[in-house]
Amino acid sequence: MRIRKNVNEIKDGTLLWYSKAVEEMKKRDISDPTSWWYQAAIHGIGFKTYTENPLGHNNMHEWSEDSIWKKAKGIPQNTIQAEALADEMKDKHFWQQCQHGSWYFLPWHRMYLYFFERIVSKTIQDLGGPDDWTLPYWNYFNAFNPKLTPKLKEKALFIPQEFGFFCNDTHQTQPNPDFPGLWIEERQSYKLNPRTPDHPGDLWDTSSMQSTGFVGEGPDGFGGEITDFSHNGRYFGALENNPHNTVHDEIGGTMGDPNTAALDPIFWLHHANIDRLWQSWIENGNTDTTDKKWLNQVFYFHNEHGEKVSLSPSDVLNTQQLDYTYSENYSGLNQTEPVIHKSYLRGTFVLDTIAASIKPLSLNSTPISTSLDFISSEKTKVVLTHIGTESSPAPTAVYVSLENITGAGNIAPVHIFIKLPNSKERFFVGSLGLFGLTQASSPSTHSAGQGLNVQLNATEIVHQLRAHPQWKLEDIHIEVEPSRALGAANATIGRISIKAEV
Amino acid sequence: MATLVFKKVSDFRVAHPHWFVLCLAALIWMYYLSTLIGTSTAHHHHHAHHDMHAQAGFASMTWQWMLMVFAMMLPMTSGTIRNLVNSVPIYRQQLSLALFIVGYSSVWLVFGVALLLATHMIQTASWTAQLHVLPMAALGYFAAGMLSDAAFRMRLLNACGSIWSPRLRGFKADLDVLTIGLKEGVKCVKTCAHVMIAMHIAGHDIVEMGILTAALFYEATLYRNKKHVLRNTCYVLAAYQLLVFYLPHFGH
Repeated sequence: MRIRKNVNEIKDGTLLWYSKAVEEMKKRDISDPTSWWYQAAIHGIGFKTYTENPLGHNNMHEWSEDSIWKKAKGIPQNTIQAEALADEMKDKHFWQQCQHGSWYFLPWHRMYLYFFERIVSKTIQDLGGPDDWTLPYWNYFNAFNPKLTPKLKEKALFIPQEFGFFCNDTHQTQPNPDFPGLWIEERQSYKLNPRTPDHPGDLWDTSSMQSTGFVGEGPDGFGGEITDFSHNGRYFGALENNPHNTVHDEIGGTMGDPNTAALDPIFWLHHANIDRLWQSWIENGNTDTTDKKWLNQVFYFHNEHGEKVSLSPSDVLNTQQLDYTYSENYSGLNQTEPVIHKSYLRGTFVLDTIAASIKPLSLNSTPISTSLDFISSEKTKVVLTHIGTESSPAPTAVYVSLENITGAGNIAPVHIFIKLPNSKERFFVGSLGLFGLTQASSPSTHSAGQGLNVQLNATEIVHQLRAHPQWKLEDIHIEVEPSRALGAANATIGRISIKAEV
Repeated sequence: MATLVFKKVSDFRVAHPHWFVLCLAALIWMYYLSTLIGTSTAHHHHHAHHDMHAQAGFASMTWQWMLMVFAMMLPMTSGTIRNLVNSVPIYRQQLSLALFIVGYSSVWLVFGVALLLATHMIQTASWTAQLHVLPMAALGYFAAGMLSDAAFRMRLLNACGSIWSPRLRGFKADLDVLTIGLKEGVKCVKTCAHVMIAMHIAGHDIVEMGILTAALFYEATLYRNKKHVLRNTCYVLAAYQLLVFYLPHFGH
């Protein structure tokens, strides 16, 4: 059985051979299912221009889907012809098939990585390399690993140097000369932002691993909400929003756009880590859904011989079914029972919408806040119970819901805070990654164009704030702040609402 | 026991907030089924042609049209209703559902009246007598099949179920929900009108209605990425209508 290892712990030629394989696969025509270009197009492909979808920020780089994809071997240089090819391949269920905002997110990406790994492995063998190459994973969760030294924690936040550097003097990135295949020019950041005292629990964290149910209507669902085939879904699942989306958006550039993300070699290591986290979550005693619709949904891929193959989630419930496993590594799982532990059965967990913003909120590079309109307490059955009392061992669940987020461009993770009246203090609720914002904002055969939706669990912070002398639920404001300047990108949140458990 | 039943019912209502429209559609289908069985028993007839053209009066025809819309189209709005209900306060859910249905139905009503008027005008025009030599029902289904895979339709189909969250309360919130219903109605008309027109031309055979509803439901709610289901269904019905037209005893 193959073992996928942490990229920061491998000392053999895994990355060297990966680099050689990428270069070899890039020589193949996009029509070849084993080419680098075809593999990336399975996830997404698009030809938006810079003005429609800026991938850089502050106008530093005029990158666009069009400029990036035109580098692919065999792609028509005429955009209309290129789009026609992409549409044709989409209709055949081969390109633009990635599942997001959906309970298919995890199994689809597991299948995707499985066939990619086999294709890379065969390419390496054809180049005279070893026959046991496996895809490494990038465990950024090690930044929270209490057993590691500060130096190793810091190291976990960086993209490994084999993938290239960011030169502070020239403000440009450059490849590692020994690993040219692992570099991509359009990579915006090489480091994930660590927690800071100002942002406790900031950016991405391990909270999603504490989810106890696979399916949910919001972030409590580890695997995502029930959908049909979903290239752009309605609500992200817990693991998908954090760390998946936030890491995508932190790195930015090609990684920040689903239509170009898989062109960056680090994409595959990031997703190997997401796949590992799913496996760890299962091994910790959690269970996937047993819904037949989920188990039997068929997805199509190509194997290392370029032959059409299909798999269903029931084929990939455990990595051992696919003859691989992961080396033991930190997964962020709490060893103790989580504070909020609900049997999240669909239909027994009722949320009521108790407040909402009145007007859409346009994001700025600086913090911006909005007040909320509340319904009167007589019109809802929501009662905020206390944490840990005998009669109510779990607090009333409270969520901040951000709906119909539309816009264009690559936006770094956005922080959400609760502000109390007459106070400059703000209290961190969570972060959201707007991965796929541009695609979700324009109507297409894969999207309704009504934007992204994210629900953040605010239960703990709300219940802590209730002890605050200035606490008054009806007077709270929600503040929104992107972690980096927006540059040429833009986003508007259609509605911010508060939902609470009945 | 009673508590358990109450809880089960309550859980079902929460898990399936669109239960009301499904029940309404089911009732109409039961009515159609009883008509079908009644016709079959009385006339030893395989099909029950619920021929709208034979109904007396414009109001009756409009009523029949709306019944058909509720039976065939309301179940398609399950996703939209679920999203809508989840985005409004619980105390406003029933009102929102009613406003949504009013908005949604209004669009189909206007479309239906326009279609019935157009039909009446065409039927009374002298030149249309020549059309009887053509297999109109087959042509209608064939055209519907051709339109079923059009790119604009696929875009609209994907938009089904997605909504812009309404405001929280008050008149403006009512207006938002009504607008959601109107917009959903317009999307539905654009997505499914070709099928409804084909059926109108063919004479509203209940069995054909059932087949097309199943195809539409499959396409809209079960697997949107699966193309050609509706197109192929329309082509099969076109072939059937062609056989009936040239071999009138085939359908009996």
